[in-house]
Amino acid sequence: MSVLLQRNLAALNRGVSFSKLSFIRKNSSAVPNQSDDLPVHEYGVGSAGDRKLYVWGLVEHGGLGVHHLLKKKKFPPQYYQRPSSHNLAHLCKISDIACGYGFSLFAVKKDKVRLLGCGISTDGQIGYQAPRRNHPLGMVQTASPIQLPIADDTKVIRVAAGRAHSLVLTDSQGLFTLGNNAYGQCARAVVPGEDYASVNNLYNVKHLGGQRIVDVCCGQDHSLMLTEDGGVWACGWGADGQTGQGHFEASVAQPRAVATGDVAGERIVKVASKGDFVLALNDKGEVFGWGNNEYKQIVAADILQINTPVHLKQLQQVAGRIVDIGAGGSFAIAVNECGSVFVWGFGLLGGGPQLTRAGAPQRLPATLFGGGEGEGEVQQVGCGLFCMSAVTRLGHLYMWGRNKGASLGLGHTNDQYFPFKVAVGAEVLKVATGVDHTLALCKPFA
Amino acid sequence: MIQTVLRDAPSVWKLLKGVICIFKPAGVSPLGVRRMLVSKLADELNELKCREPIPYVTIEGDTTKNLSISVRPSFSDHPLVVGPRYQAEDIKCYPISRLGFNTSGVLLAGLNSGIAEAVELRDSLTIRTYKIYGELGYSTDTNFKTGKVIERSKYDRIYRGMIDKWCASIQASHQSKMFEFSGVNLQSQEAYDLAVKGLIRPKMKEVLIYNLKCTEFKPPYFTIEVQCVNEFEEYLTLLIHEIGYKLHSNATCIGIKCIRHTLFTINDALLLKHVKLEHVIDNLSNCRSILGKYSDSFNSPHLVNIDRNEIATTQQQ
Repeated sequence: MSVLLQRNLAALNRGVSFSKLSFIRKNSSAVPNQSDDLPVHEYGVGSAGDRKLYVWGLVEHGGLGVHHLLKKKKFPPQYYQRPSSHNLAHLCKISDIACGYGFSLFAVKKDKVRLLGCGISTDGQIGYQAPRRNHPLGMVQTASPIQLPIADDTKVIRVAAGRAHSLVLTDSQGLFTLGNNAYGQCARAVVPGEDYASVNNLYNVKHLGGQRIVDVCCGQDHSLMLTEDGGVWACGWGADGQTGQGHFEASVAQPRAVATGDVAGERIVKVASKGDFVLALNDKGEVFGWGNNEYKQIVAADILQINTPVHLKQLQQVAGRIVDIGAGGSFAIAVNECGSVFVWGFGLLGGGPQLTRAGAPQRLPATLFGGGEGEGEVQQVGCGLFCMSAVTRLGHLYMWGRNKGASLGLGHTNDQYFPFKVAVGAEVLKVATGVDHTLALCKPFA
Repeated sequence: MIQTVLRDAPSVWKLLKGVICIFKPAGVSPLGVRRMLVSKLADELNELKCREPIPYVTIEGDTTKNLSISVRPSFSDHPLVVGPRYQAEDIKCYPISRLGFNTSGVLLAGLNSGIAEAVELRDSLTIRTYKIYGELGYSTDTNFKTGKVIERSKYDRIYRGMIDKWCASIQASHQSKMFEFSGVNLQSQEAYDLAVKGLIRPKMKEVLIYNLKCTEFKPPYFTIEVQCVNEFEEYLTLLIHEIGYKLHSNATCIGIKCIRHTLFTINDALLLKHVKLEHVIDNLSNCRSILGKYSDSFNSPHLVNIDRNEIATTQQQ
């Protein structure tokens, strides 16, 4: 029996109409005899756990970890202006990513390695990277392993990166902090005159108030921890009230619970911070904020700093139940359960060149996110220090804001005044935005 | 009314102008369709009552006597001498879509003095909707089923969601390309105003996809519905090839059908076997009424927002 006949019979069993088949048999010279001799290839099809990593932005500080691609180039590019696929995802299984100020962290699983880091390492924020003894590198161009004192079966579940410190959360051995501790952001006592780069400083926080830590977030120089019972703990720089302790003390060295003000008794599920203010989301979809309010990024009143968490009532009136939040340098973003995006604060908010200041939450039209019927529905939002990002239900990434170091990945270095699709060829799961570089962890389409 | 008119070829000729909507079969070029159309129209016109030959006045006889004057049909204008009254070359017909040889479906053409209107329609970059039929498992050198098979691969692990995701991704990327082709400064308020309103027309002759979705998936066969401007046949076959490649397999186009051109659907199209004078005149008047609905944005310059009706998907095949 010829291959054509076999195929047609097989197709007929699957319910393909006969007219279509007869048409093919009559006109098709596509299946000539010699095609029977061709081998039938089976190309690999991905599994559910496959990931792709895309990187873009400033190359020079090594935060992209693309040294292996550029070391033979006579004139390596200053920026990656478009998303570039990184081979790290093919070499090991990446579960989380984080972008700090010129450095990146990857939570991976490969042999005994659980954490990789690359980029600026002036404060030991990507661990003690010293190929020569007592000569630690100030900058690491390739993703390098960071030694953690953990058991072999412990996994790193979350990483977070601030200006010069990093938080690494494991599933069974608590939180590890590394890097700069000038204000107690590493959850330990401040040692005056400490040289963070020359010693391998790793500090372990097993639990907070008897509760397991489930999520971490880094602001500029402060750290936020989320415990199992929905409590928020904070430490580090607090001169703007970003530690939420009811005072403006510059340094909070021991993590303390944020339990005053409107946040008392609430079960917090997510905290977001990138600069000097904090937003927190509870399980009922309500948003709370504390920290700097210079640009009205928390409340519309003329208060410069808020040291006690307040409920963002105006946002709830406009947007209803919130599902995701982001807090940038001077602006904030939230998305409600209908997939509508709201922005407020000061900066390039995404409402065109004229919208640079908004005291009240402004809704961004759904047409900006691909429009159409149900296609402009945003699921995930995030903020860099100068830019914002949104991921739609279909996994498409949109970015806008200041294009520092081409960190928007739009193929140019101009600022973008409204959401624009970033050409990432996979379904985006998580976006990490630094100051001048961006990483996206994606799932391949096939 | 038409019945009375149809007896007289010159009055029918006067009605043969405007935009006509024809169903182009696969395996014929648009120029071939034009050739079939005009030759059929010419034959039909010649069967009607045509103009008589012009009178030829002869004055004969001896000039010294009374001359005899007679009038008879002029042989220089007689159909048996100069050929049929209506020649195929007399009918001007200009197809405005670039449907390829293997494509079937709606073909708009300007007829006689309607050509100017048709050219205007062509230049306003109107959207066409295609159904592209693909088959998984092999690829050919021409990306169409008639080519030589160059590679075969398995396709049993491909499911519909994979095609859907790629279609959505390609569509979203084309929508951001839209701004590059529209010629506006992305940093301006004008660009934002356009972005808020939705889809815009490009200013350049670049292929732009507005909508791309998989409408049917019965492996190894699948159907893609695409709404686009400035496209050409090779681009559409390449699209199927590309999708197969992205799905870690091979795919080949087995058929392309244009189901809609602006507001003209496949139901408005005239089959070639129905090319009779009465049907053509009906079709011309139908097209005129459809164009009347469209005239608002038809005369506007580029960079107007696309009417939602124009890209609404047709339910009919």
